[in-house]
Amino acid sequence: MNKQIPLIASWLMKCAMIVMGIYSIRIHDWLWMFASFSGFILSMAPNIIERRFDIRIPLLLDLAITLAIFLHVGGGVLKMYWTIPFYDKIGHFFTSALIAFIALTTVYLLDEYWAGLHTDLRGMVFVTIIFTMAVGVTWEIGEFGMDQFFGTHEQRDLHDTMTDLIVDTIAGVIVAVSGGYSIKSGRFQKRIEMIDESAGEAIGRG
Amino acid sequence: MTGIKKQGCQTRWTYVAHVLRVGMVLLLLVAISKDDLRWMLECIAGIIISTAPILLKRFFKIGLPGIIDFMIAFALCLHVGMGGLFDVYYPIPDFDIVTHFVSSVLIAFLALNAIYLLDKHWDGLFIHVYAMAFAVVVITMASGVVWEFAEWVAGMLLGMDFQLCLEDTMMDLLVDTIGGTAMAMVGINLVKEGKLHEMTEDLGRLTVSYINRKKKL
Repeated sequence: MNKQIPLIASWLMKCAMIVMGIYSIRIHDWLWMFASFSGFILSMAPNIIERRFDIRIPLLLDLAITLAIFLHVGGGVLKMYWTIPFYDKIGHFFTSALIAFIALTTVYLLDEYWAGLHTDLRGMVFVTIIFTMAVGVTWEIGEFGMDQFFGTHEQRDLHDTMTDLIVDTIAGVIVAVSGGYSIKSGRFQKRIEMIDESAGEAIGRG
Repeated sequence: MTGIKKQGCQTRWTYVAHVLRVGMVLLLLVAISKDDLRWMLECIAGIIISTAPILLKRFFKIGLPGIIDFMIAFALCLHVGMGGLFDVYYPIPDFDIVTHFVSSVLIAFLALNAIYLLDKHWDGLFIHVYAMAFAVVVITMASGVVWEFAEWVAGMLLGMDFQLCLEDTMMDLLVDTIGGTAMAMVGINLVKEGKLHEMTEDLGRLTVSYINRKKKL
């Protein structure tokens, strides 16, 4: 019963994204219609990865990914980005923390199972922080490109963009450092046990 | 034979770097004659930083690859010389795209060298060429962000406008990304053809001795 709650919540949010997509069609908001539907497809990624590569992803991670995309899409369609102060900062923090966690897990698994990478803990933490910052830059460049080509106003001003990047960096540092400590103490391995086993099998097969 | 040839190549780049350094000293004189305090300071900082490779060689017996020596001097000379003396930054705002590109290529190359040396000589890191290229791109992007942070903070503290506007900053970050990606692609070839190995022989020896010393402690 307990396991069902995150699953239901995740599917509810996925359905809500489709509903928001249809709502955006009704109000002729094509940009956010596109965002809603691509958000829905993106939030299916864990399920697709599970089917395609036999890598089992913990429900909580699936829930967190869906929640991050849902917050972004909901914020856009319902105009919460513009009405709730600091909404985008909270979104940035949460998403960056999530990306840092995924990056750390990926590096950890590659280190363990791929012959092409062996690194020590400091290297993992460093790559995680740097990668999170680079994703932040990619996101901002993406927003900038949208503004240039479609005439939208996703980036408000320089101050806003710089604080976004700082929030991304802080989230990356927090997750990477605390993740580093939990790898050292062995708690991290327990948390990702499920991915660990199935990814080991998948990479071993490949 | 190859040794002599390589030596010749090294000195050629070092020679050009010397010329650029002398050029910067001349620029300093011009800045003094113009009474331009800000560019005087930048010139002095540029000269000091660009002599770092010489000092490393003299006092620590570390021969940096000639090309790094040249790139450091070139990036600084572009920034100090063109920006300071001819005031190119204000009439041509796009000029900082050039300097950003050059310095991000330099940073990407330094990152590539560092990762390569650690990969070769340190047991704590073993990394595939493509993963190395990925790391180089990501490091260059992140250092672009750090640079923009610094400009932003300095701008707030000093009340000056280094970043001009959002568009300018975003172009900087984009150019950094492109520079890093370009260098990473070149870097894959350099590593695969073994040229990077030749370039970093001196540094490699240094890394080995450093790591051995650490092990003994």
